[in-house]
Amino acid sequence: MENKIFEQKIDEKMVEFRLKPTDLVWKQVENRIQQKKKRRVIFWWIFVGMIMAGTAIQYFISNENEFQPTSSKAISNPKSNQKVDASTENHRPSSDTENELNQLQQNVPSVSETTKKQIFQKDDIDIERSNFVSNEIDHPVSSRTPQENFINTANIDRKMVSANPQVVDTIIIRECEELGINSSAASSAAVKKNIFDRQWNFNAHYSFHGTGDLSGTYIEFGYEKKLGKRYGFYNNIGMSIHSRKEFFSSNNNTSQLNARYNAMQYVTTAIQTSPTFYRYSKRGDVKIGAGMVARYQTSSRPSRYSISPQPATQGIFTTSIREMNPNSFSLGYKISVELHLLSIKKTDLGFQMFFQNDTKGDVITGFGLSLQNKFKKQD
Amino acid sequence: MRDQNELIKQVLQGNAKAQKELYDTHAEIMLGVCYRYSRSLADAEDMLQEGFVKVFRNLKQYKGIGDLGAWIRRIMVNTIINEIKKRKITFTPLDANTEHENQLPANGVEIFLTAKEIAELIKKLPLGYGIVFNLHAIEGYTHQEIAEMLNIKAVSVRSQYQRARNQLIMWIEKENLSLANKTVEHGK
Repeated sequence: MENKIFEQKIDEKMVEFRLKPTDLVWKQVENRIQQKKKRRVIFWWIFVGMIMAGTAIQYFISNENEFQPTSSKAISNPKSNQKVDASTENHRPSSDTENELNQLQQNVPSVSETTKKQIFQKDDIDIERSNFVSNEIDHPVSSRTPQENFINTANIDRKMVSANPQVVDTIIIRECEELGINSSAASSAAVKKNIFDRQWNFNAHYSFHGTGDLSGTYIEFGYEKKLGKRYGFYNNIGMSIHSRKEFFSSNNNTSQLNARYNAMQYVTTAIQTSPTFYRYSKRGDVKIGAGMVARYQTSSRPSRYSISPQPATQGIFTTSIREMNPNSFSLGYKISVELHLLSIKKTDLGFQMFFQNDTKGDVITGFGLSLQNKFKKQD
Repeated sequence: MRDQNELIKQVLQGNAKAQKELYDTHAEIMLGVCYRYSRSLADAEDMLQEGFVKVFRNLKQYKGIGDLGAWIRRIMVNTIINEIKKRKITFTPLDANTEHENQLPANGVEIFLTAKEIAELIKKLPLGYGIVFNLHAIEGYTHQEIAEMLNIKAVSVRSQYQRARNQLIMWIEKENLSLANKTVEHGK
């Protein structure tokens, strides 16, 4: 059996043993707790962002799928005149596109039936293309009803563009002319693909940094390249400037900054790039984008400052020190949605909203106008 | 001082003031604990920081049973042990006089030293002995529990503890004698 008297004496003495840690210990503990919270916030935003992006993509894909059965129904039921007309109405082209079409018609020589066959035989002809060619041979244009002709045109528009876009466009135009319908209605998507495949963008937004506590402007210059009918890749460089006046006092709690001021105005500026993939809606009037963000930010906020609250007990003053790194580089993601408002010649105007979140934990949101100048790359 | 349960609730809600209050309440005594196990004050502060980060991250596991200070202390000691385990614990031989494993009678030993002076004496012990002494004599762990914590045999813990205890008694008696001589000199 151990004699515990010595241990008891030691224990009694050590109960009162205390040492005062330096302030640095608490600051480091506080920083590490906050970092974990920030990581949680970032994870949450990424999670929400991915859900939003996934939902949006799902929405666009499901819209596309809904369109195809409508066309099939029209194919199986030649009597559905109204449906054909309705589709035509929806695809009414702008006068600008019509001009482009007229120009194209003049430039491209007429194509004989033999040439058409040669063109499609040269390529990797799938079953639908073969059907189209045999249909052309077995049922010449003159023996078909207008509805059948339109159906053929729709098939060309959807499936044949990749074979030889210019010739296919010409086929569409000629068939439509014979039917007496607006040629660009059926082929506008294919023609547009050839005319405008690039664009310059200038975006100006009213934007917010953080949870709305800093407000300011975000401007962006960019260049977009269309990838097929429904996709685009957009690269850009943007600059933001946000400002805030932070108050340290309230009626109940009077605090002072550095024992002198009760408010501090600061400005945060940043430069960033955000390569983005866009997906266009079927009609091309809405596009949704998701991409990466690389951002360098600098702030006029001091890297270290103290706040002195009014003492709760008279004569006992406390000071809290705040620290931050005014310069930072961060990576993140950006989601944007753009609605097409109007077109003037080759210039489009749109309304755009965006949301971005980065590894620093900063959230930036904004809305504003987007100006686009479309052009075709010279071959 | 607000109610402990209310304080814990606010800490769990992320209230910065409550976090600071919880830290301020326990930091000094916990640094005293860390100091006994470490080689320097800087080492002790590192352990304190690590321990408090764990306290805040695991506070939701505190069920409100028992004293919060005791719960924090357990986390702190576990953190210290984990930190120490990363280093190699050695049991280097002590003075020849303490090499016997028989318990020195300590009933008559009066301790006139301050807590800080006792802590300094404990810190003078080689690391392994100091840990064993702290865990058994002050924290109250049994030899078996210490053996499991340090992954060594219980028999080994017992013998290391006896050696550390004997060494401390000798140092304390020496310090007492020195203190008595000083008092006599002052008296003259």
